Parts: sequence; C-alpha cells; structure tokens
Amino acid sequence: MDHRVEDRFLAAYERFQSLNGTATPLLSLSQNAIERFVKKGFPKRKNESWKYTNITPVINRTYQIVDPVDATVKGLDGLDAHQAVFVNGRFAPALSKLDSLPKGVMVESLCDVSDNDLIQSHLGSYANYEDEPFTALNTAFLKDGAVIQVSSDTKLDQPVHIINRIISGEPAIVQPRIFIYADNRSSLQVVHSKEYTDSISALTNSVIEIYVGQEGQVDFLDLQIGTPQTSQVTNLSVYQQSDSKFQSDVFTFGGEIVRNNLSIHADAEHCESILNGLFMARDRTHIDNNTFVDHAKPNCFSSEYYKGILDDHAVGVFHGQVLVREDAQLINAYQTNRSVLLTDTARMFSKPALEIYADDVKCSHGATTGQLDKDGLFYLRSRGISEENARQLMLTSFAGDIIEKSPVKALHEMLYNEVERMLR
Amino acid sequence: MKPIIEIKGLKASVEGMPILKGVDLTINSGEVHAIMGPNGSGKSTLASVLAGNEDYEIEDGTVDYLGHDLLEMDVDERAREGVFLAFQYPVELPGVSTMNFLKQAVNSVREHRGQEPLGAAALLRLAKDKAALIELDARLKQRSVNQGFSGGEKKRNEIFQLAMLEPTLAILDETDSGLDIDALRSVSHGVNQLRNPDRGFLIITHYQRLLNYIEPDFVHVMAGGRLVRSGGRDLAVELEEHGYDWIQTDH
Repeated sequence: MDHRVEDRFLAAYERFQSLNGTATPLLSLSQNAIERFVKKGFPKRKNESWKYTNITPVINRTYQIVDPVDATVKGLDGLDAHQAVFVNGRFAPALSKLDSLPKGVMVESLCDVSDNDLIQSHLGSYANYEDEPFTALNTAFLKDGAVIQVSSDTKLDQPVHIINRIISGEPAIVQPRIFIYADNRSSLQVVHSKEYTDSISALTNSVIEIYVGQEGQVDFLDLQIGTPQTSQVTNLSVYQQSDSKFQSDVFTFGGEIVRNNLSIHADAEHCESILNGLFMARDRTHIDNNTFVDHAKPNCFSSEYYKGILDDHAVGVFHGQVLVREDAQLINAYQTNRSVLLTDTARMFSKPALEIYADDVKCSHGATTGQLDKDGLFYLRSRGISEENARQLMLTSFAGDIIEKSPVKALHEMLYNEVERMLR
Repeated sequence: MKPIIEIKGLKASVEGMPILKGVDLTINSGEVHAIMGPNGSGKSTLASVLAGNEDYEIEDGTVDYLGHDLLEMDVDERAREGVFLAFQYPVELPGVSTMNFLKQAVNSVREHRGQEPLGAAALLRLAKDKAALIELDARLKQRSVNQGFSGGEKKRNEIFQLAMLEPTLAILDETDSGLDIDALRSVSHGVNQLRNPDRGFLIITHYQRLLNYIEPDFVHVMAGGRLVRSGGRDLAVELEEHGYDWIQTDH
C-alpha cells in the first residue's frame, strides 16, 4: 500500500515531537494516535463514508505547521461572549477576554492543564482516533487547545466564543482542539469560529469533544466561513448522560472541501440531541456533512435537520447514520435533509442510513433536492416583487429556517448577513 | 370613466394546445365584470395570461392596459403597475414570513408609484386596518405566507393582499371555490369595501352564488375559449337556472 503522504506526516510528527511537541502527560495518547494514523492512512473513496468526497488533493499538498505570531481578531458582529482566542492553534491570553467568567466555569489552555485528572481521564476518550484518521492525526499533534469545564449546577448567561485565528504566508495546517466538560445540571453555549488571513491557503483539522452530564445542556454552534483556498475537517464527538440536552448548529458558508463528522453517543436514558445544519456553496466548493447518532439506551429523542443551497458547480453531501441498539426501546429519531440546486451543474448526495435493532421505536427520514419552487417565485413576483428579490426572499427564508432554530440569538443577524452575502 | 384594460382578439395556448381563441373585453374604471363558464372554458387561463404567467403562449391579439402593452410587461412589472390576481390556488411559502413578504410587496409597488417606502410600524398599522376589513385572523400574519392556512384563510389572505396593494385592476380567480358561507360573506364584504370609481374588477367564477354578494355591472359567459354572451346581472341568474348547456348548444 502506498503510504507516502502518511510517511510525510510521520516525519513531520517526529520533528514536532523533537521540538517540544506534546506535553509529557499526553505523550502516550499522542504516540498511540500516530501509530493508529500510520496504520489506517487517510480515508479513500472506497471507504463508504467518504464515497462522495475526495480529500486526496487537499492532503497531497505541502503544508507548514505554523508558529503563533502577533495578531488581532475581529470577533463576530452582535456577539457578547467570553472569548478564548487561539492563534495558529496556540492560546493567546492577550486577545482573550475571560475576566468575567462566573464561578464554577473554567476556560483554559490545554498546555496549562494537561496533567489535570479530568484531562487525563477524559481527553481522547470521546473522539475516536482508532477509526477516524483525521482525529488520530489531530491527537498525534496534540499541543494546545481550549478546555472548558463547567461545574455542576452552574449556568452560563453568556456564550463562550472560541476563535481560531489562522495566519500564514504559506499554505498552513492547523489542528484546533476543544474539550468541553459540562457537569451535572450545568448549561452553556459555545460558539466556535475561525478567522483567516486574507487569501490564505489552509487546511484545518479540528477535533471537539463534549461531555454533557446528567440534566446538563450544551449548545454548540460551529461557524465555518471559507474561501476556495481553505479546507476544513471537523470531528465533533458528544457523549451524553441521562436527561441531558445537546444541540449542534453547523453553518458552512463556502470553502474548498469541508467535511464534518458529527457523532453523538446517547449513552443514558432521556437524552435529547438536536443536530441542525445549513450549508451554502458556490464555485466548486464541496461540503460533506456526516452524522452518526448512537442510541445506546431507551427513551431518547434525536432530530436532525440539514438544509443546503448549492450554486455553480458546488457539491453537497449529507450522510446521516442513526443506530438504535437492541435494548434502546422508545426512541424517537427524525432526520430531514432539504437542498436547493440553483444550477444544472450543482449536485447533492443525500444518504440516510437507519440501523434499528429495537422494535418499539419511531424513526423517520426525508430528503428532498430540487430547484427553487417556480410557483412560489411566480406568486411573489405577481405581488410586485422583482425576480431577483423574490429569489432572495425565498432562499433567505429557506436558510433562515435553520438560523431561527439556533439558540444563539445574538448571532442571527450576522448569519442572515452571511446568507445574503452568499446569495449575491 | 376611462378604460383600464382593452383586450382584443386574444389567443393563447399551453403546450401547443389552444385555450383562448379570440377574447374581446373592455373594463372601465369603477366597473365590476364577472366571467362565468363551465370548467375548461378558459376562464382561469384568461386570468393567468393577464397576470403574466409564462406557462402560456400568446398566439395573437392585444391587451392595452392604461395605454401600455400589457403583454410586453413582466409579471412583477404588471403588479407594480396595478394589476392584481387573487389566485385560485394561493401558493404556500414555508419560511417566508407574511410581514416580510408584505413589506417587500407593498414597498415595491409604492416605490414604483413614487411614494416613500413604509417603515415597519406604518406597515403594521396598515396591515391591521386591512385585516379587519376582511376579518382575517390577525394571528395569521405571524405565520409563513399561506403555510398551513385552511382553504378559506388562503382566500381571505388573497383579498387582504388586494387591500394592501390597492391595485387598479383586480382579478379574482374562483375566489369563491372552497369557501363556506361565512367565509364567502366576509370575503365578499371585503371586496365590496374595495370597490371604488378608479378600480376595475374582473371576477371569475363557476357559480353565480358569489354574485349574490358582489353585484357585477356586467356578466360574460365564456365557452370554448371565447366570450359567447354578455349581459347584465340577470344573465347570471339565467345561467343559475338553466346551467351552461343551453349556451353551448347555441354555439
């Protein structure tokens, strides 16, 4: 088997570790991960879950692992948040605003807490590096990242905003890492966004692990704004305890290749998991959303709602896997994927995969892909609205459906603005 | 009294099949015209063609609207110039908020007339007044356009939009179909309130029932793509008594 690309990453790994790479307490995790990565190799299209996404051209390029530099960040319009900034993957305290965190909430740099018991026992145990090569690669290069810990019975009134600032004159690879531990009956909202230098060429490979304790609630909003020169791979793994709620909102606007692996492990009763996504693409952008909901215990609810608007030669993929294990009775699992193709050359691949081994469950899925509704357009125009405005109104409303479901209300206006920018 | 629309020798087809085979009709300001006729006679096609539906091919004839060639205008342009079609089957627009839709529609028309666009508060006030006129449940304005509306609510919403946009020519395409008697009464009441000396109405209906509530000045009978008979209100009564068969055998 030809492992040349992987060998290049292995060489980079050895260099990285020789130069003060992974902190000692996490070194064995990193070593296991690189071994696993080399053995598995990058995913190929013959792998069922990568059937429609060819990542090879992106990983065949040469990237630099870049050092942190002086930087500024813009933040997001309308969002007042506790802010943790990472520049090229390294925590930047001077750019962060963490002074007003309530008691019981810690937002820290992984570098500072790598020997902490919580990290030692949990980091890497939710994000599966055994089977997921990108997670293995990220774990191998572990160095810094955001660690958010919320004590039991603590509720945040403001979101935590994690900004990954990426700056480089040369093509760069950055591997953000986020670990969130929300203890019993705690609740918080987290927003994750990236800010790139203009015209940068970059690959980001993010790994996010979230633990939601009993009766806890976590909302995670991932904002992915890209250019034809930026590719993003994100592995988000969530572990839910009983009576917990988790909601993910993934907004993808452009990019070269974007791949999201979102996996939910509902390992206790009465979990509620909501997975929403909006993806908009034009030119030759390729956006692939891959979700996996594992219902391991009875009496849980999950709902997935993904919408996409694809223009030009853009390609969208939605692969939604739901597993209901044998003893997981009384599960309600719903999945919907709707996409609008604005040209004859845009394409959408939508593939639900329900695997159900329990007999008393309610599961459904629905997928529609089509053009903009002609009758709707005529109706709007017949009221005096110009064709362009009518299209804009219909598409904004189509996308707005997902925006309105996001609990981070402060970002709605900014998200609508992004939608309008993409439609222009 | 001046002509709003003059239709001469209008022929139209859909997918090569002729539907309108030479329609002549003039509507003057202040007049209410009703077109009755059996299913498939071309009544709704006439409404669609006048509104600008591009599914229909114009084969021949002219339509003069306030001195403009209506057939040369796009659908949205016609609407801005004051042509309004109340749809037989109003379209559901999931996600499109009614207020946002009204704002864009009203302000497109206002801008075209050289009027200042309405702000959110003024629009809301106007919507409240007009909704009361046709007894539209105010809560419907909170919803997406027509989404999940009952048949009656959809038709009321059409007349509500008519009231908001204040057209010069209002075309009602089978607005009475699917309405129960209460809805019919309130829709008709709304239309009667909107009658004025500057506005013309073209009411398309299969049944004369609606014409008990909205009294037309002229009644036309359409059969086989032509207006085969014209008269006053008594023609509608005659049709109600004898059905359409006697008209068709005549021709």
